[in-house]
Amino acid sequence: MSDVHAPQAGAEGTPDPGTGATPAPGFPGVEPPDGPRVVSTEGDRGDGIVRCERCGASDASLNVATGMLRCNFCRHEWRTENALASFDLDGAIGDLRGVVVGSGTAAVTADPAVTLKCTACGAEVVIEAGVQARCHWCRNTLSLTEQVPNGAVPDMVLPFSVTKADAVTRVAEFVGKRKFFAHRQFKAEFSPENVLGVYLPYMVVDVNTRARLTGEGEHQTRSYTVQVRNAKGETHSERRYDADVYDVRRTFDLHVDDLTVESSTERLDRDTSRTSNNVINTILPFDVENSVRYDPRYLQGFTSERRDVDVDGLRGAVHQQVRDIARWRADETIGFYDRGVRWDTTDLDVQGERWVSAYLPVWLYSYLQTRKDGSTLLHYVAVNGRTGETMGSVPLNWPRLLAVSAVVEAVGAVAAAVLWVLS
Amino acid sequence: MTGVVALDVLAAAGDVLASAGGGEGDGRGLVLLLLLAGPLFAGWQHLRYRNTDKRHHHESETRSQMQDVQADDTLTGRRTGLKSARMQGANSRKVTTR
Ligand SMILES: [Zn+2]
Ligand SMILES: [Zn+2]
Repeated sequence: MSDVHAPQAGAEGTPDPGTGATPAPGFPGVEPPDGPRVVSTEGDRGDGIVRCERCGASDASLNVATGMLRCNFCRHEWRTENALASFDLDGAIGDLRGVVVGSGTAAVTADPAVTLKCTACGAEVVIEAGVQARCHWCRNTLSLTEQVPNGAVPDMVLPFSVTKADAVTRVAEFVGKRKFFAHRQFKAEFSPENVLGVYLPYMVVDVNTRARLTGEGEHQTRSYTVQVRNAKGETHSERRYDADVYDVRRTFDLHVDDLTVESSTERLDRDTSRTSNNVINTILPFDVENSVRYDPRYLQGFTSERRDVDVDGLRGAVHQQVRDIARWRADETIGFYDRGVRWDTTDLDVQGERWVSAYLPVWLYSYLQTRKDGSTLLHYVAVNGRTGETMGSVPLNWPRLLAVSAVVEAVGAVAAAVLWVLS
Repeated sequence: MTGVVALDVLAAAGDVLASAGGGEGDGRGLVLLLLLAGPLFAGWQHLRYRNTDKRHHHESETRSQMQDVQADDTLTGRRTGLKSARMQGANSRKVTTR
């Protein structure tokens, strides 16, 4: 979703300036006149069995080393289409009007299970959406290629490119640097090869907005020293500053590209006394522009988590992040105010936005700590499945940390006393 | 080992104190830091292990384009004899989302 691809006029699926109101044909659900324009990201392979083009087998999975799908029988490998380009979801952000969403962002429903009819033998197989199942009778692998609008199947998936061996090394290295004060049981049980490859649900959002910031800025005009007399009558010199004060206003177009937010309630919980989801958040961003059309075969051998938050539930948080970006960018334009600027308002006039749901790859090492009071704290070491960026939470051995801190305190106090006497 | 680590934490805390604009004379600031060495050390290690302060910096790590920038600034007055080198309440680098 970058600005390099300009939308071709008249092309099917091109953002439609002005109306933003034509739902894709055949897409059930919300279709109010002002509702989002839904771009169908559904495949044209509705039969549930996807066969290898060379040998016809229905079993394939991701080869992490090449990023391609590999037939599990004949080893034939092939690449699937880039998602954003093939769905025309990468047009210029400045041309975005209204709300455009991929069909994979549909409202999530309570029951994600779907019944598929095996096209090979006719048996009915219940399949947890987003995953594959094997027909019990004929052993063909059934894939949920038909996008049931229950929100379970994302528009696109970014395949793992960091291998498990690499992830194990990174987790071991991260924890290795944090052993001395680590909790004893954690250290005893630590086995980095238990790291799990997980596809986590995210929304990837482009926003075309006008931003307006107002506030006050100070520009220094003079700096000088003055003599100050204290209560005892002693004088010493202090620095003083004069400044001009300005009302500051900035207005600009802002095109935000591939803003990425978690889309499950569990992962959005950042309470660090219960979880360490914040470390999973830290390993963002991903190269989401390299995502491919969703294909359940990429998930084989990995686990995945289900999205349970909709576009409407995330819009407020996304706009807040866009406001943060607006402030950050506005900083480039206020160099004159060398003493700083205090922004009082940051307003957005959103012209258009584009939402796509995605599975992004994360290697997760997890450890559930049970405290003495029975409460639990879930620690993660997370490795970005594309960039290798690693962040984690290691439980502490508090008695040891407090003991060493006491020694540090004692040394500090002695040094302070010496310094006091000397001065 | 402890001594080396303690020096590290003092160096870090010294930066913090300097940016806070002590102005009270370096001696007294350093004494204060030394008296707080234990808690500072524990807090620093806590963050190093648990990383509870870490998050994705969406404001700087998200690609964005800025176009048609319009500035409209007016001089409204002047302040003299200010004690701090930085404007009070300046927030242009602060992020509201956590
Ligand atoms: Zn094959
Ligand atoms: Zn069958």
